[in-house]
Amino acid sequence: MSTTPRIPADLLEGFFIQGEDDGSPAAAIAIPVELSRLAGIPIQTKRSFRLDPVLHELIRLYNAKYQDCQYCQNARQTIAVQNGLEEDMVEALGHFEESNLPDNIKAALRITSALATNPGLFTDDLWDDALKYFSEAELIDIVLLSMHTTASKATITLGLDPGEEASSRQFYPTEDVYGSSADLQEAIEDLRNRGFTVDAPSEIAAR
Amino acid sequence: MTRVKDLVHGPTELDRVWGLRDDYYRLFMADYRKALSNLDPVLVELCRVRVAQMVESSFDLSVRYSPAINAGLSQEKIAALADYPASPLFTDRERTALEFTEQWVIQSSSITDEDVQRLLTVLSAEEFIYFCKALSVMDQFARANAIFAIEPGDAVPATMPDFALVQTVAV
Repeated sequence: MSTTPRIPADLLEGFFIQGEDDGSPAAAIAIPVELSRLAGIPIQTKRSFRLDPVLHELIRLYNAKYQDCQYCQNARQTIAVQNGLEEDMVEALGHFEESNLPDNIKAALRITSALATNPGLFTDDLWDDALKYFSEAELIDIVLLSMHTTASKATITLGLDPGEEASSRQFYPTEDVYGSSADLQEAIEDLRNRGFTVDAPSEIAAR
Repeated sequence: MTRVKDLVHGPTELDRVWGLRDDYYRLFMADYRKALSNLDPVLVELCRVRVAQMVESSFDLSVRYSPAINAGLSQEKIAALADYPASPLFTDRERTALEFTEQWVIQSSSITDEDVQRLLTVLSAEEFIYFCKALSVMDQFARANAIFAIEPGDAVPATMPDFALVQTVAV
């Protein structure tokens, strides 16, 4: 992996991990921000994936470790943390089968692991085992989230991983990185009303 | 038949499974189509089929990228894909891109600066960017389809207008 750009500086202009394609080569690799709103953050909106925030974050972090994305590995979604994500759970991802992670998390991570490594080895038995813990609708979200979070392969291969310095903190739902949509605003207000901290400390201090 | 039992209505199995997350499906496929359109279609199709072979997605193997077929990609060449290092049907450019594709599928984080430099002898820097994006979405799509065990159908999904069924082009 590399955090040093492998493309010329003039082609780097306009690069962003997610956003809207403005036609430049660098922007062409961006993940459309609406895709990330639907899949990539553990905030449930009317149209988004609907997984437990801790499970969502563990799937994202499993792929971050497997793909060796420094930026992704060191970011934490505050909603997952406020829902009970602990660092020992994150540490266990590299050896989840032998870990103390709950059985439902292990069943989900078997899907994530198979998708990231060798999907051809995935079996009906593994799918049926996951159905003991999740609805089929949740399994769809688990598969698609596992897929979505492999998108970092492009960023890493191009040497455009922003690195851990850019992300070693908690990310809050109101931050610009998530963009803005009516669905998201509604979900944020719901989280706020339920007592979650949705604004970054820097935003609160600036008021 | 797909592992997913509770399907939505749709003309193909892909639509019936991915349609369970319809907003995501439509946005992802729009990104997929755009990503493939930025490169030489023959190179794209060779790499797409190689990805599908490696991750064992029978759905992805059942369709062909029409712009590549229109540009002259033969079924004979696709059939020789597994032997691309030695087959005379492939150019050095194609061999280098396919080797990079295999690295991408097996473990992309192991791709070194030297591997990239080798690829950059056959692709421009701009093409390299588009190539990574295309590999990303082709790899993602085939992996999810393999986990869902989506089977080939008798029609091409409307979300893949630039594709045709293998049996309609393999003549």
